[in-house]
Amino acid sequence: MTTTQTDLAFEIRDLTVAFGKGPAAITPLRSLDLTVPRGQFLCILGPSGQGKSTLLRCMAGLQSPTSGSVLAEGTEVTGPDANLGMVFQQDAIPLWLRVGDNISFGPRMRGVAKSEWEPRVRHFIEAVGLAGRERAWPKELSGGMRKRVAIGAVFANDPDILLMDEPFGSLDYFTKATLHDTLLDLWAETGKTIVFVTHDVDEALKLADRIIVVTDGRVGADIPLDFARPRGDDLRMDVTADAIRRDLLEVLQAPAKVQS
Amino acid sequence: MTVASPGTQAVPPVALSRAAGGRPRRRAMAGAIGWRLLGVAVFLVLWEIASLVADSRAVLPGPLNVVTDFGGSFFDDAGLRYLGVRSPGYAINIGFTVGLSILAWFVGSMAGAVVGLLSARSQVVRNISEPLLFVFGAVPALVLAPFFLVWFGQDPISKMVLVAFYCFVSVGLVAQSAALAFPPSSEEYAATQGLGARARFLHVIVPGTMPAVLSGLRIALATAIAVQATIELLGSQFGVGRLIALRATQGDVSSVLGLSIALGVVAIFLDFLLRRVIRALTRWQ
Repeated sequence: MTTTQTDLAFEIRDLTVAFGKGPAAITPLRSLDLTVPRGQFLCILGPSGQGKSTLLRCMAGLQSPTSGSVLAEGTEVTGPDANLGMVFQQDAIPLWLRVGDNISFGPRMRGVAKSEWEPRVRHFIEAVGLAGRERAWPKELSGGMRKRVAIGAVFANDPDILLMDEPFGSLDYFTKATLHDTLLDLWAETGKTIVFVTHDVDEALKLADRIIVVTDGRVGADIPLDFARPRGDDLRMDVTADAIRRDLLEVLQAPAKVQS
Repeated sequence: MTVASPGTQAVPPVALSRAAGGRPRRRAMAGAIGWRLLGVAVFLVLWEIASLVADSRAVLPGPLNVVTDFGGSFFDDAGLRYLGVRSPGYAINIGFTVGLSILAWFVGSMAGAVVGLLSARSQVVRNISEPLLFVFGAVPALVLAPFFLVWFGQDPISKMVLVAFYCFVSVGLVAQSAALAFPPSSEEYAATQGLGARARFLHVIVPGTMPAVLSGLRIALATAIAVQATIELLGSQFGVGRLIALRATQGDVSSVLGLSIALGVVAIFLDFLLRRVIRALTRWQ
């Protein structure tokens, strides 16, 4: 199948981001090229400080490129947009809103008719496992439950693209595993494009259709995955998966080797 | 080994005490109030002992003397009326001082909060306004008050303007600091939910900085009452400050103490009410 522009969630060309000028300038992204088909679950892997969060922020319109272009569904990204939903690493949901108000925050603030958003919000409250907790304050919730609120809120706002910046980085193994399943269920149900930044190789292997590794501001590796879903712990025993894991670790460790 | 299920709700300590019928919490509150009352009682006893040692009402009247004198002048005072003081009763003057303070505090604080929050969005506005605010905000009220009296006269408006100014500065700086310290990811999140700049300010910045701004309001209220009474000392037809100045010239230490303590008690009561309002508005915190 020929990939046309309309089939692409993202088309990124020659993307460069530089902070500062002259020899002291920091350039987290250097002439990066990337395309993301619609409906794909893409994981962006990379060590800290190699540009993966900067790339995600450019895709979200939160960071302006120094040069190059970012197109989302054929339209240049010039700023944040409701069609580019984002889940942040830190707790970013409004703490002064109860769970129900948090999940309906986006459509309410955008003036969407209540008859339109109410059933969606109710559905996603249930889908993320927070039914019965609509009146709870975020302070009353655990970290994992607050992430559920963030995920429910971003899906309830109905963007075509979801961007997630290490959303589960601070959670324990069991909470993370449950949230992986929740996220994958929602992705299967809605067919949205998800771009997920992580530094956890096993997390990427479990979630992604495709993994790219960003090192030194560029795409260092681009690996499609065609393992059957759902992917459980048996993936750790899979020979192919293990080979991919080793390849990824080798690419991830390459900058460190160069420096040492 | 039992493994806790993922996403288990964190149970805060308050919920535990509520689940136990709230008795430990009520006991703690009763204990806190008891200690406060004990502190006040100890202070009164020490005061009475000191007044007995001083052995002179003119130097240090005891607490009972102060309360008796205050009560006798609460609604009217023949002596002050003889001196030509209009409305000499302590109650009406306390009401005047506190009423003007509250009005000036409200106007000044609201303006300060809005300007403070908005100025956090613009480095140019901050660069222009900060030096002026810091310089004039640091000048004591007793220094600025004569200028206001000369410029705006002795009527209540001039005093309100000065009080409102101090509230504006203190709340404005608190609001600005709160907005600058507000996590950028919270506003970015709202932007990715489709909120424009105005909506982000109204629905994210304002509620998110409310706890800090409300704390600033508490401080500003105490400042307002103190500044109002202070400038009344310099020149006023009404108010607690005016009465304190008159009583001081008469050497009436009992009345000076009574009026000062009464103003303090009213300020404490208002702060108590404001804390209840703040707790209701920030119960999410």
